[in-house]
Amino acid sequence: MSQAEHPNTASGPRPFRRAAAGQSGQEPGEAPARPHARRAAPDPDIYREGGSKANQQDAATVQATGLSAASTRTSWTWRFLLAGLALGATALAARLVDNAIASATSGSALGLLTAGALGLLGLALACLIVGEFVSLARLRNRSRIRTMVDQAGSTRDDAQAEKALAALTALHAKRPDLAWSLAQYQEAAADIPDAADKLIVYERLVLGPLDEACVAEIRTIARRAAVLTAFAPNPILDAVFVLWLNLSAIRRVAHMQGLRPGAAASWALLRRTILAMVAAGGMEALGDMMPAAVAGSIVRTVARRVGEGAVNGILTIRIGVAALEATRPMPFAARERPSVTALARQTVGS
Amino acid sequence: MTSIVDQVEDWLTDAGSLLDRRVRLGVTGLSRAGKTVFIASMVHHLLHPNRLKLLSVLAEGRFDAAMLQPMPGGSVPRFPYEAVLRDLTGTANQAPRWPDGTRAVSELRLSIRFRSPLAFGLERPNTLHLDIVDYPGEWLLDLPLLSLNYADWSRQAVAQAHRGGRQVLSAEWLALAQSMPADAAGDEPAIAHTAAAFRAYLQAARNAPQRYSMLQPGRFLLPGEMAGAPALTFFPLPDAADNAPRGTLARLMADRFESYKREIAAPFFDHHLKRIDRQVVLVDMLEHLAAGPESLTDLKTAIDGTLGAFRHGESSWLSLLFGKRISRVLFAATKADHLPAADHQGLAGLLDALVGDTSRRLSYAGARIHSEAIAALRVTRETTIETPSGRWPGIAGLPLDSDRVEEVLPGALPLTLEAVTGSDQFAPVAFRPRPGDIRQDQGPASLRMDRALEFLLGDALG
Ligand SMILES: Nc1nc2c(ncn2[C@@H]2O[C@H](COP(=O)(O)OP(=O)(O)OP(=O)(O)O)[C@@H](O)[C@H]2O)c(=O)[nH]1
Ligand SMILES: [Mg+2]
Repeated sequence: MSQAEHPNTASGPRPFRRAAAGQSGQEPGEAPARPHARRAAPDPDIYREGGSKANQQDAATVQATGLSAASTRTSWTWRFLLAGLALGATALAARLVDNAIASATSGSALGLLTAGALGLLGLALACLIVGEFVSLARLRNRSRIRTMVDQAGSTRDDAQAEKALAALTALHAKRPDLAWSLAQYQEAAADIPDAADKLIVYERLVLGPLDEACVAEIRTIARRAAVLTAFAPNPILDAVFVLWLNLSAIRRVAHMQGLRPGAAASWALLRRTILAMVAAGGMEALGDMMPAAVAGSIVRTVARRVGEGAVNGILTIRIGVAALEATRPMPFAARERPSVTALARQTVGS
Repeated sequence: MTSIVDQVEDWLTDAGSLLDRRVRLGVTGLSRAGKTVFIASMVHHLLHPNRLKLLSVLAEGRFDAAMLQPMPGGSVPRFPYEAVLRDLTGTANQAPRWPDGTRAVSELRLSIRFRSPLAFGLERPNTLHLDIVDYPGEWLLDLPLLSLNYADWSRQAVAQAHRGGRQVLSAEWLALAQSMPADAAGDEPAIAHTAAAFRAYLQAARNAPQRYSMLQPGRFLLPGEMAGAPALTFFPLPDAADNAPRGTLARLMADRFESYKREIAAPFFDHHLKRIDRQVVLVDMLEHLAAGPESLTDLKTAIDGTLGAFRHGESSWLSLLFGKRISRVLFAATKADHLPAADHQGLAGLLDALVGDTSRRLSYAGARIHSEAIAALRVTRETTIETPSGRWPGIAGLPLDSDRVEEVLPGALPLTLEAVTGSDQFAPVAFRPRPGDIRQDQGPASLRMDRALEFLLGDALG
């Protein structure tokens, strides 16, 4: 916005006044705020005191350690294996296609049918791949916006904050369920001159209700996991159920955040969720993924079963909250990251 | 100089504030800086809390209600919130207008019921008593006097009277004062005459285009109930010596100066400002930027001198024994609605630069410092204005000196204090409220009042 910054220089406009067209002194005017560039000053960060500071750090850790780095750090063994498989599959496909072309060129009905089928198959495959890429890109876009919001929040750079706001509203504008929250936000934003502050209000007004809904969903699934564990007749079945419920918690949260992850994106999302868990709860979080079911096979008294149910329920909550953090387009800053302990008390403690 | 009883009372109140959550907010600002409007806006906002979007106690839904309370004690008049609001909203036969300059001290207690968050999503009901005092800004400049003796003050005031544009204004008084020998006995009519000339000089300096701020003693400009009293009949002498002998003019002046400090300045400070624990320093940067560099230097002297009277630092349990300290100071450039939003950051930056030395000193003492460009009441809106030189962000509103809404470009806000020239390159226009701008039943439109309150009170409302 060069025209906005210009008046600060000595070559700005001369002082100027004129009567406003069609306005009398009696006309009450509403004042839409139009923020522009701000000085980049060290800010005491008055809205991010206490608990949420730690969350910011967590989010930052996820950013730094995991999300972007992990996608490039696949081990070489896997790469060779994948390359081998891909090569084999290509060879097989090439043979099939050769055969099909041969039979198609032979002009037989069967040949034409094969060719048609192959074409359709190829199309479906292409659609699938494109879909995967799109959903992966969506997921990556989330991280990008999150980083943008994070930076804008800490530097209080208005231009950056404006960009982040535009990205956020683009993400949420098409969702009818958020229309009311967005309207609330627009109304509040008119009173706020700084874009960095608008981000704070955006998080509270638009993401807040969404957070609440996700947390409610997570609690429902966690309760289900706890009950299933307590009554499952067989430890293997129990483990399968819990795994399935945990994965569905991740999927549900992703859906509510407006993501429809395909296979690859789901895998990426799972990885991000685990990373968020690690960042939030330390290394023991990874260990938590398994032992409840294992323990279940060893101890079989009813009381123990209920205890295991609670443990599994807490695990689901932990995973759900991590998934929320991984799919949320903003870091937890103005709002606190839902506390796993508090949720666990409300959900399985009662 | 406080008696033991006073001291004990101080301790008890301080002890009470640790149990009860009581915050004494010191609204400091020179005359016309915007104290009365700020207090009225703050109170009105908290009574009708629909627009303080960034105040976390509200955003987190922990705010129950605020209520005006009679001040305990009751010897000081209550802040006329209702009357100020009536001025601002206007009535059927009276257009909205800014409140008159304040002429006496008043106090107000606003009690806020809210809930403090505990662990595991639980909450505890809580109350914050917010004590606020309003007073004529002129009196604030008596605070630096408290640490000066008469001879020091005389030297300082006479040197100042010789500087820059003050020279012309002070000529008459200086000539009179010089003609009076400091070491002879003075006669009362001559003293009264010279004191009147001194007062006239202060008046003239206040109204001069330079808008001088450093005008002491404060009661000379706004005597209140003290008009004509002997304590107000003195002036600085060009060659006042320390410890002048009895019977001389210098001694008489020194005695009156001391009694001014003892009877007027010290009680004002002790009763109303000494025990504050949060401070907002309101500064009308716009007026002084437009008035030029001399105006700014004078303003800086006045702010630095005033803040020197307060005790800043971290508050701790030790403050129970050694007196409270001011733990948070907000420097606020007021009337930011006279500039388009694009300039607000620059305005806050200029204020930062102006109070830089002082704010470093306060930080070092352990206080938290923040600065902000605010408008306690926003009476303009942003527009884009097309001129032959291009399209510029400007503002529209009802100017003080006009009956029609106007679109205004205030001109080029200087980038640094050094770039301030006082030329007509930068000429902000003052606006006034229109009917409907401020309403009885709704929080007022303002700029960054929520940020200001969050910084000042956010932790007390946690
Ligand atoms: N546009 C605008 N003008 C303001 C605002 N606050 C104060 N003013 C202007 O500044 C003038 C002085 O404000 P007051 O609040 O009366 O100042 P004060 O500090 O109480 O002054 P004294 O009582 O003389 O010490 C008002 O008459 C208004 O013209 C504001 O938020 N916006
Ligand atoms: Mg006032």
